[in-house]
Amino acid sequence: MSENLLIEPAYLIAAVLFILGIRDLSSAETARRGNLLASIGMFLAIVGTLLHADIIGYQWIIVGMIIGSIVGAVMAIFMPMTAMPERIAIVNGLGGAASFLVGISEYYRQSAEFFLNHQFKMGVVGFEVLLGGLTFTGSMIAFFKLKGLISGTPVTYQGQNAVNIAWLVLMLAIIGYLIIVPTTPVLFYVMMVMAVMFGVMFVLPIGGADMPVVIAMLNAYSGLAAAATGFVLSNNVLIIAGALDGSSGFFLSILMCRAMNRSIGNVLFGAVGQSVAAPGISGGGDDGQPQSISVTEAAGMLLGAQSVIIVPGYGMAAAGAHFAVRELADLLKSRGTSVKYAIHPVAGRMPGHMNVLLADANVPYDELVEMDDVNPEFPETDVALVMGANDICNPVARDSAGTPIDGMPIIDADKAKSVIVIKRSMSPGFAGIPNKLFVAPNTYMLFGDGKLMAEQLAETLNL
Amino acid sequence: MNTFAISTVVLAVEAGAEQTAEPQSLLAAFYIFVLASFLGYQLIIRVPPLLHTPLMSGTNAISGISLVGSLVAAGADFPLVCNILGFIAVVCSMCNVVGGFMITDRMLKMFKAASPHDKAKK
Amino acid sequence: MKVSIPKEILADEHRVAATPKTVAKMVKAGISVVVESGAGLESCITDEEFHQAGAEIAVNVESLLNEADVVLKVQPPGLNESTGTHELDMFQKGATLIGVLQPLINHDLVTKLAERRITAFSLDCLPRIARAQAMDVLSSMSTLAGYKSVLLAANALRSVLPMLTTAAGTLYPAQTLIIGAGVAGLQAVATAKRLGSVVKVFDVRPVVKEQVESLGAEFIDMDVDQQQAEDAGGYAKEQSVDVQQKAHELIGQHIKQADIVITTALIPGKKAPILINEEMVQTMKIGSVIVDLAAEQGGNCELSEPGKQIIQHGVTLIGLVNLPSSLAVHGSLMYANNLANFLLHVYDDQQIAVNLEDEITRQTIITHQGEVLHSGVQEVLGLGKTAETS
Repeated sequence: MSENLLIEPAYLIAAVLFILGIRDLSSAETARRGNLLASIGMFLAIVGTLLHADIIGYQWIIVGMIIGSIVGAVMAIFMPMTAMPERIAIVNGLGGAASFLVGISEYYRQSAEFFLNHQFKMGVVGFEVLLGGLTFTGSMIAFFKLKGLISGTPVTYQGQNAVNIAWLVLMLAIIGYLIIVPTTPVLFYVMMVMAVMFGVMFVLPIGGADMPVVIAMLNAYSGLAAAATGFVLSNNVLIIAGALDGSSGFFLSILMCRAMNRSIGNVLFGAVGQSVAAPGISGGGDDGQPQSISVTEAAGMLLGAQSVIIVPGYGMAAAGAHFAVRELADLLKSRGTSVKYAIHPVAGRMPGHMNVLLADANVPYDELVEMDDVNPEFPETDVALVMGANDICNPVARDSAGTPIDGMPIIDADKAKSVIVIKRSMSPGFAGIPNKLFVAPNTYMLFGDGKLMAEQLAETLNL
Repeated sequence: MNTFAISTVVLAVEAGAEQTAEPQSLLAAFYIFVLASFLGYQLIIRVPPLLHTPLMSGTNAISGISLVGSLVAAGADFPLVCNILGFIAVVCSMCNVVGGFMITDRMLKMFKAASPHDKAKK
Repeated sequence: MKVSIPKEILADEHRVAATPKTVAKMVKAGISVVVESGAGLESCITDEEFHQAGAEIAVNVESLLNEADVVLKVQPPGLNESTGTHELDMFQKGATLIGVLQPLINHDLVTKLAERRITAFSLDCLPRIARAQAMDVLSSMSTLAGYKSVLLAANALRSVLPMLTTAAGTLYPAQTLIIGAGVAGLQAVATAKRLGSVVKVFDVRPVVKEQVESLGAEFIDMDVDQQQAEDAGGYAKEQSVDVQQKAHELIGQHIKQADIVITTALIPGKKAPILINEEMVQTMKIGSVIVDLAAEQGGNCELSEPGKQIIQHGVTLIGLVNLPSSLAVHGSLMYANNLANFLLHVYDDQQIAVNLEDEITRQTIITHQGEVLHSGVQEVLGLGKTAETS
């Protein structure tokens, strides 16, 4: 029994470390330390659990931990910078699967009378399975969408939101029923299957570009599932970590939506009843959906680039981002990256618009290159950074006929090895047509205010 | 300061809770849940877009705490079915934990490696 | 096909319709180019430079025009004092003329063009589509006018534009009010800002607010419904009486503190609106300057006189016209480029192709084979024919 005396302090310290870890993750200078603290906390929680009196057989545990560690490490090591959300999606799904399985295990082993006497536990087991199941399949769908194995286009049908809500209500009703009458295992297994299906149903109608927000939400759900497990097992560290995870995931997804200038309702439920895919633009990406990345990933791409060409447009002017852009360019240059600006003859809303602003920001004239001189350089350029430009780099003008911009020469940004587009949203430019560049396979959209994004990229590069 | 006040309360409640007395610990557990949720809100509400991805990855790793439940299911004196389910759960959540923390670390390490100091030496 | 570029005969016109670069471009396309001797001198281009680029130099203007298939001009054809003949009379019948002809105003010219069976294209009638941007002379010349207007104002002002805090006292920045945020207006904003002035802009179209603010100037909000303010091409429309009233009030309010006022308000084909009346000028500070870029079309200021710089009520009123001409080097560069781009667009295998299916051709063609084709001009001349123009 002396072991139990060690467990509670271990859990306590673990919880403290989680809290400190998340706090540190919120600031650029201490982020790495935060991750380390959280991992130490996890280690303590594991050790503490292993000392738990209930555990008597270690063979399953040891084998399981070894296999899990190897797979986890492999996934982490062999992962390209731009596939971060995908990896996070998978591991999140696995976390949900774990809660799901533990919930089933609990239900299976306890008799009906036990649950009659511990109705709260029944409820919590139900939630554990519900949340765990939907997180598992939801995350897998998110992964497939991000990887392009499933079309990123929202899959919608009439009345879908109503069906989803009804489905959810039904599952909750089953849990409610089981709390009162725990002697109907059939219902439990039915709900289990429903939960797994619900994950799919919930994520399918959300566009591929919004997957990062979905993952943050699912992260929150897997946290809640862990908290539920904590209630079932009367384990405090599970409750604390799960609640921390749940609420931070939830609010993080709201923050991410705000940064994209949309409400969370719009992201999760908005595609129903609308056609989101751009008509008439085929090819490009796997299905016409833009790939969105975060500041972190964009900074990573810029860090790895030997040559960057910045393509400024009216958006940069409207955002007043030219000073931040120059700072970003200076940082890149100080690392040996070559930086040029591709100035389209009609960029902006007046002749010389870009020149005025860039001169104001003290960008040397010799870094400004006109369209015909800079276009041949794009195929050898690592990253084309499109700052609020739209029509002037829309390949549709070059490759298709019959559009308002037909015949207008453009900046061949799409020919660069990778393209990062900084823009507030997917709204069209002056010509009012969708931009094929935004859905190209080597293009990554960084949604946000131009000035803010440029400043944050600069800050990241400065770390 | 707010954050620390709350953290202290949470931990105080937890320290005071006993593991086995049911109704009392249930209420305490509920308190812990609510306070921890509020704490989570306070911690991340001011996160800049810059750090969204590492934060997501980090908290994702923390949700691997489900490992704790899996360990119990896999190692306790339960029917074989439970042990097997627990085993699978352990594999899954171990992936979550190890993978999650390593991915986050890689993300953050990337910036350190390419600091101006190092590049200037090239 | 022979393209000729005569020297401009209008006294204050220093530009020329081609540059060595555009000559080379035309020659490369298989066109033979002839330039009148001395045509480029006021744009700092010598006969020798034109010749090096592949042009023939002609001394006799009559034979130059007579032998031309296509004539490129800056100003509309007029009476050549030295030969006593109208330029058009020296043209071959059926030749092509490309330039800025202002056909809605120059009725006699249009009639004469039809009589001489000239195929005339006027670039001020270009449609505002993406493809035509490289030919847009109005935009090019407005850019130069907007820039120059600020320099003229700064020169006439007896104070500096930026703020300077010195041991000899603090010089406060000049307040500039720009009316009309089109191409000229925006360029004026940029130039005034660069010189250090505080800039405010007034325009009836709410959509330009963002553009103005992107250049660091303040936009004077009018609360006008967007639909009323702008036509399909993005130009400002004539406004209803109460909108005009409100505009008057707002301008009157801000003009009192202005050191520099630059007005750029034009309505295509019509007289320019009067935005500043005598009363308002009397409320202005002594020594302040108004540059009226619409002087030639009637003026936005009641008191400005086209072609002149005068002082009334202590305010300097600059109504100088043809500002792009004073910036002849770049004026010619831009104009020649616009012209050459247009020429190469309608050029097809040693001929000028008159393809009325092409929007650009259709909108810019004024006369062809003796008939007036431009619908706007037809209306104005009361010819009542229906054509396929929009």
